[in-house]
Amino acid sequence: MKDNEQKFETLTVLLRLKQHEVPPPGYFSGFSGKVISAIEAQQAARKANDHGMIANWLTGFLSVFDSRPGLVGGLATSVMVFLVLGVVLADRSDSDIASSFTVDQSNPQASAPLASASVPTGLAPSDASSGGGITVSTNPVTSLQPSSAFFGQDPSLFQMASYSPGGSGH
Amino acid sequence: MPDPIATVEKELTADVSEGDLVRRARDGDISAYDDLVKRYQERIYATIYHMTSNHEDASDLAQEAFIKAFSALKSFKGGSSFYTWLYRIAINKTINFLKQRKNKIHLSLNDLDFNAENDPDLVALVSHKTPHREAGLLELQKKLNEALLKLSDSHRMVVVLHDIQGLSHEEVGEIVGCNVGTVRSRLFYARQQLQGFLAEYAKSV
Repeated sequence: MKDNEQKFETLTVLLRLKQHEVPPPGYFSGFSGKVISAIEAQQAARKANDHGMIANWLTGFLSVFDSRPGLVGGLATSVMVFLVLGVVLADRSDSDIASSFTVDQSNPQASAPLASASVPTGLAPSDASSGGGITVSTNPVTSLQPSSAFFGQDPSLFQMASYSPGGSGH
Repeated sequence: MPDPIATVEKELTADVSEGDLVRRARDGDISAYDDLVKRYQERIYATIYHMTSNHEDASDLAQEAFIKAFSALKSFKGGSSFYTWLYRIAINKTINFLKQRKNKIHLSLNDLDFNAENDPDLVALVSHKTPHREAGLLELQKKLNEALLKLSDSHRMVVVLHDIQGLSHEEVGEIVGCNVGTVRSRLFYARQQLQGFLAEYAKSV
């Protein structure tokens, strides 16, 4: 190791000259300022780019109307509909809104909305056992309703007949 | 002659710990990063300059390295010191630049400071060539830079970091990304090569 150091002693002296090479006077006093300015410029450019993307999206959106003028009418109509709806809903008094949510105490089922929903009116258990019962389907689209109602008949108009063999009849 | 403004700035920033500055800079504090730049600008610039032997290239690359380091600061986990991490960024940038530049070498050397003429060892090396001390040193400077550029990038790197910048073998290994043995062997080979290129000066002592 020591031999190596001695071998390259002259070279070490020569390389010392490199340490005396200096940039122009005052170079480093402005260096960090340049770096920081460049970083800030980059950040500003990135922000501008983000805003530019929004602006580009808006420009692209509006350019659709240039090629399809009919869309402008459609959009204007839908905006008007929403406005009118908004005005109508705003005009409704609080009492109107409150009354629509009032529970009718005379209807016992009203206090148990889930129970009333489970068995529709006109579907008494006797009806269900007498041929006009509930058609159960696994199809979620099919609503629960008496099968007779499919033929446009009111099940309440019919009285179920009974038959007893060997009797006098009824 | 040291720059008085730079000296005052250095004193002001020396009190704050590097870790604290890095943490603040990572949170987007530009002034903290400004302090970090001031702290390492000279060493980073010098390393790049000695690798390229061109002031303009070194100036651009040093700025790019600091800008890149700021944008990558969030990925800095603190596994090594900020200084080592920054060095690695600067060196990677420089090596990429040198690969692109290939053989298009254009020297743009910095001036020698006043102390060079007062170094007795250096003066002795050039005195037999010319009685004019400054001219001799300038010629030696040119020859020395040309000789350095003849080395491969990896060999020049270890000479610059160890022999010129004064980093330890361990630090060089950490920055370059190889073990100490590799650093030593590269250094030996590079010195041998340089001694051959600068034989006319090396013999004179």
